[in-house]
Amino acid sequence: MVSAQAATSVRSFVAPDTVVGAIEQRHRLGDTAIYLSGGTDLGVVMRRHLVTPEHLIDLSRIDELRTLERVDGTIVIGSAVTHRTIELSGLFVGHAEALREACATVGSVQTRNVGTLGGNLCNASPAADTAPVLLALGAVVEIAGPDGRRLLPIDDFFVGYRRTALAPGEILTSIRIPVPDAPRGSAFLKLGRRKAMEISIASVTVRLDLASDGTIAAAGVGLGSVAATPVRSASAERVLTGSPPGPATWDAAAHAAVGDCSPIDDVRATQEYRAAMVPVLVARAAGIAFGRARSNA
Amino acid sequence: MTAPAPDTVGRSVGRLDGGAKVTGRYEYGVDASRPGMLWARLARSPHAHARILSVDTTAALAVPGVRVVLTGADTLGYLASRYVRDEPLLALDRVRYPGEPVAAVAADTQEAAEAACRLVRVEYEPLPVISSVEEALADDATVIHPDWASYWVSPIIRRPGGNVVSHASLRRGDTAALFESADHVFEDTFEVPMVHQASLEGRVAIAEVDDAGVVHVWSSHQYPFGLRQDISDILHIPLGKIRVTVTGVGGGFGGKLYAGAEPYCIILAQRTGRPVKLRYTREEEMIATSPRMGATVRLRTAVAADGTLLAREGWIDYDSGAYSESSPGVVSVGLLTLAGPYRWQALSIDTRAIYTNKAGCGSYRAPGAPQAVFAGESQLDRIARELGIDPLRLRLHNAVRDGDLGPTGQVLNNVSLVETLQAAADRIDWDSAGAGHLRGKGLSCTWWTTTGMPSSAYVRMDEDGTFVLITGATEIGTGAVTAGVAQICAGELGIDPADLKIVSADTGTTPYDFGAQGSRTLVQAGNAAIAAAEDLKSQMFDIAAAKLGCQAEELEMSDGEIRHTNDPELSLSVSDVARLGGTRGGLLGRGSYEQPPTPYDADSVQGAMIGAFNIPSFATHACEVSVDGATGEVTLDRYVVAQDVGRVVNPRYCEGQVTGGAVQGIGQAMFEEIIHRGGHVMNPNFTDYKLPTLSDVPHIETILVEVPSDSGPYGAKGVGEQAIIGPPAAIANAVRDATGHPIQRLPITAERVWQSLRGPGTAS
Repeated sequence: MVSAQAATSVRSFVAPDTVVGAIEQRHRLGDTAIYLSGGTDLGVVMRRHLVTPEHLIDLSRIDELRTLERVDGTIVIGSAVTHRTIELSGLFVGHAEALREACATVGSVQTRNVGTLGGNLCNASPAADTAPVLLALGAVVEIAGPDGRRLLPIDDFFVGYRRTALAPGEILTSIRIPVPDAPRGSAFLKLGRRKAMEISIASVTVRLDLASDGTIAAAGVGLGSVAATPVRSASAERVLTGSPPGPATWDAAAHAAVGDCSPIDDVRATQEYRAAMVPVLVARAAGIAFGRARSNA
Repeated sequence: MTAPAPDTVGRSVGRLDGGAKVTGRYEYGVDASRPGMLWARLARSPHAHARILSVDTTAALAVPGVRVVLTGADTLGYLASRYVRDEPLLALDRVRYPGEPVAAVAADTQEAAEAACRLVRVEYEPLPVISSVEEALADDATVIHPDWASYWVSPIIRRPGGNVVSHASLRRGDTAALFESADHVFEDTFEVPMVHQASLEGRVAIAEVDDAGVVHVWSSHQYPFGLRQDISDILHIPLGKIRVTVTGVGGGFGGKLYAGAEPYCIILAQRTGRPVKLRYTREEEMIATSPRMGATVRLRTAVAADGTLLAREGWIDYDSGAYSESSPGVVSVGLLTLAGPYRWQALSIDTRAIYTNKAGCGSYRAPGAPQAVFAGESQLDRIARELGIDPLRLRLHNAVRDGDLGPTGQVLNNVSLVETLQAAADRIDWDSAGAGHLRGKGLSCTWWTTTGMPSSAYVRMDEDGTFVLITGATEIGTGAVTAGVAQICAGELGIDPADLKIVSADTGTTPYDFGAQGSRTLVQAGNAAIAAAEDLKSQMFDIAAAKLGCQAEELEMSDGEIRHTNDPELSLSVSDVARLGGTRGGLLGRGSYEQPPTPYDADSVQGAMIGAFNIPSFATHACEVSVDGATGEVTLDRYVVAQDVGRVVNPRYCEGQVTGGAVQGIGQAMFEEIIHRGGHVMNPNFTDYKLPTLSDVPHIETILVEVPSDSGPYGAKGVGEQAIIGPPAAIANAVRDATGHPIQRLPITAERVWQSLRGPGTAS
């Protein structure tokens, strides 16, 4: 016999106002508790009974997680900052346009008003719009847990299909994007079946930092929806780094990026199409990123 | 009924339900409730095709709050589907699609009902799954309905057996001879997937049984009188013991024309003695309610060197899913729409609906037509291209005109195809120089019916002179009742439409109407309302004439006054008449309208439930696209629809219907498809079933052409469905113009265009 409430597994909902308080609640409630940060993904999987938590620990009342600021050479984004806040913020102009672009394409305005950057990352969908952007931007995430806080390069955060490096009870507290002195430009491109409210068939972010001699000093290339996790294309980055900007370089990087993805067939597109679109998007994003870097110089 | 139109007609009068809708006060089916109401839920099959070995409801019944759990054994003999009774209410010995109901639960809460459904234990033995029409037609295919011979079947249906639901055919003229002698013969095959109505409000109903055993159903439905008949047929309840009241309807599009949630509510209400509500989830809507049939369309067309169309042979195999629902009617529409609005010397068309292990298909705005027209109009562009004739000129050359015969021999009157072609071509600047690399323009032409069948209305004058229109017609969001029919009725009564009260769509209080289907409401319910208003006016004039000492024929009514035609001083106010008549408690005018069936050559068709288009109307779609050559993405830059509506009763809502239809058609052209694997729907949600967003659709430029009909109110023709038909072909033709590559499968996704760019073709 089961409870009449079986259709909704949740028995309690708590909303602590500090990170420490949230971690304590998680410890007290045990493994049937789950952190909630926005809920635009969690709500869907709970409705489908794919995730059946008994306790929800809402992180939205923790001020620390809702701060968005530049601290010296780093943009610090609290994990509970919404996509909409990033979309409308001026903080990213000249430093991380791609993140603003990616946040502006997540779902609808209603979704973006509720969904958070940290939630998007912890959900760890390979199609998460913001994940390849943060890979390309070389972001570092801060994680708090029962034993204190640690910093982790975002490259090490996505460890498998819908799996992250978070240990049980840990909270992603902030995302830190280093801002260099050199001119930087970045661009996010997303291919979907429609132009809004879309889960990507493939997404690409290219970030370029220019050297004083006009060559590319450093580059980041992130790919979404083309592997089990959001991935960084080290091959494309190697091609770009130290090269002169221009279509030949973009094409070479685009070609190199294909080798770093391993797409699948699903209801949205075939493997073949995804693989073919990666170089198209990489070359286009590189061109846009370069244009921005130059105007940011 | 082409009398002079009153001054309410032709104006963008606001709909009477508009205020409540925009302020959130309007009550839809999902909002309705009854005291003491229980919640129902259906346990559904996880298998596409399986034998049921046993059903155990013990665990489900043990869930606290669960009142009853019914299974196939409790519903023996309850068979649905209007033309072939092939669909058991609850599966008994086998399931035929994933999502087929196997048990119905009523419980105190939705949660308890859902929990119980998950605890209904069914033992299945899987059967071979027929996942496509091709598999269904194989010689050794498993027969999905082995007991078909035992079903009640509408007498018009013909079929050879096997997995064929019904087969309609059209034969006119000597096609063989024309194909033999023609200069050119073109042959093509097209594929169209199933698509869903995707109404924002899904199926939802409440049923309550009173002490006398009378069943009262509240439902978000398009056709209350049809639903009452369905309930009577399925559950063997006398018609007189059923009352259907339509709630607000949050979208129908043909998906709410047949019994859906209602019979389950009724059997659960009968067993529990409590009102029962059933509301389908979005996933249930997508996996288990009647979408538009997918189709494979093959056609051969014989053409003279000058582009004259001579003869067409066509075959459409529609995928009906596991049950027949409306497919026997839809196949006959395929005959008429695959021929298209062109002059032919001979036609030979066969259309079939085929059983597969998917959800049974039903009606969706212009059922059967978009599939056929995508094929026919796409092939016309191929013909034009290969003969070196401009696609516009090819269409003008072959377009039907007044006095021509339709595909089944009906005489066509008030034909407006050429007018719509020219209007659309002018607006899109058709003859301007080529739009450039990877840009293209496309056209498509359509024709469609204004369904007949009876409509009735009362117009009541209350004791204070208030007028009330009582109509069986159903407002499903188009404004046809709360604006169009109201405007017509108010105009005939000489009052402001805002002062008219409306009671509608309740079998307990309103007279019969054939329902919100077939683009018929404004025309047929409008004619009934005119007749009722005239009847009421003649009663009022008799009373007034006696009082004024003149003849009734000498009186007219406007602005709340009845006046002598030649002597305006000789007058009475409506409220005075109401008081005079008040001894009888107000007055009631009655009106009915049923258009005689449109004559056609009945010998030319077999197995066709619909042999001709009643008050046909015509439209042309024209669009301009740009294609991203690297990704295949198509951007619709402009979209024009020129549609003949006969007479514009309300410009705003006419344009709204044309715009809405075109946007839905664009969805089917470029975005929407129900993706199946082994009968299972892989995208049963709005994340992966792609409806177009506002960002994907340009402003729809609508041109309302007015070529009046002989029998619609003031010349009006049906409006609602036609605009959904044209977009797939118009867009495919524009993409082909842009890329040189044909698109013969919907939807026209970026990936398909990208594939086509890599395949054989000719650059434009």
